[in-house]
Amino acid sequence: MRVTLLNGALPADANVHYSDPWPMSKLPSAAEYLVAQARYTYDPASSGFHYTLVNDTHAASAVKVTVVDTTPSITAGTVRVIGLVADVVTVEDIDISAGAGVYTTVEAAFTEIILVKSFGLATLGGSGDETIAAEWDTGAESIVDATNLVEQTENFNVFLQTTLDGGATWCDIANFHFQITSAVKVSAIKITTALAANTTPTSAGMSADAILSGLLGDFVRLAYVAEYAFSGSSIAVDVVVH
Amino acid sequence: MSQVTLVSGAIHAAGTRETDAYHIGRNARYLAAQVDFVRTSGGTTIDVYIQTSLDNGATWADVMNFSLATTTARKVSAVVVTTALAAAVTPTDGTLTANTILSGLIGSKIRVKTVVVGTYVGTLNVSAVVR
Repeated sequence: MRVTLLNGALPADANVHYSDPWPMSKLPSAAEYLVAQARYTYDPASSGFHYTLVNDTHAASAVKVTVVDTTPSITAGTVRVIGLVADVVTVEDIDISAGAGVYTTVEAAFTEIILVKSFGLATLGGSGDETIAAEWDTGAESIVDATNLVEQTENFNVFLQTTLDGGATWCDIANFHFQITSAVKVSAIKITTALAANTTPTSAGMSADAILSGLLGDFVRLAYVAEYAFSGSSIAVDVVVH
Repeated sequence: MSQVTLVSGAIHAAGTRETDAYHIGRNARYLAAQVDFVRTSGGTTIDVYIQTSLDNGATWADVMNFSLATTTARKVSAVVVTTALAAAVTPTDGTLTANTILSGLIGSKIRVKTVVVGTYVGTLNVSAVVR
């Protein structure tokens, strides 16, 4: 039997949200195996955590990004610039793993910037002196005033949960962890897996992409939480039970 | 039977108690149990034994132990019939090693035995799902 537990846009806040419980006890036969699939579609143009823009429109131009790393410490990272080119949303990722420097977008005809963000930063904080600034390549008008370079990966967690007490408390049995890339993930739970004795269950606290096989109650539901506003991104979760 | 609440409410006085037996039928293949222990004050230890019977309740065998002390906790364990039970196991009744299970043994009835040491103020809920 298949059921869709969730299908829609991500929540607009950072609270934990829940799907309606789905009663496996109403299945014609006892459920012994549950497989879940989470389909996550990330919308880079409208997702939330990014630097504040000061002059987002301009005559067609490339964008120049300046990274300062006075005490060299950056070994990995990406700056994402999203803007309009001839009214078409265009995404360009700039590799800043080389650390301090001035980086210019390959795209030379942005007329509006929608978002500038940084993510995947490694060995950040050598002296806490890393900054980022962005400006229009022609005219040198600021897009992002110099500010601290920060990790802006967005985390979206979906927890598949079950209950042994009719819904009074819930136990995570699978986690699907997503960031800033669209992805499809599947996990399976079966009752024949040996569950460690005296396990302490979590509720919306399981580690990323983990499972707790061997535990299957009468109901399942989803708990899901977006670390930052993810407007435009969407999630669909289906389960099949045998 | 699927979900059942075996114990619910205030922690009983020091001593040993057993719940009524619950018939789980002939086709049970899986038993999962949850202990939800909330301690307000007092007490020393509580041992919760999930037990099953192969002789219609004449004798009982421990299949799970949840060992609790003075920290509020929620714990889960599960046993299945597909686990190979060691040959000629000597079952225990209220003495299973703390925080262990005996998987591979599910009879036709289950119950809970609780052994409370000390005087607790708090609640203890034990629920189970059988499928």
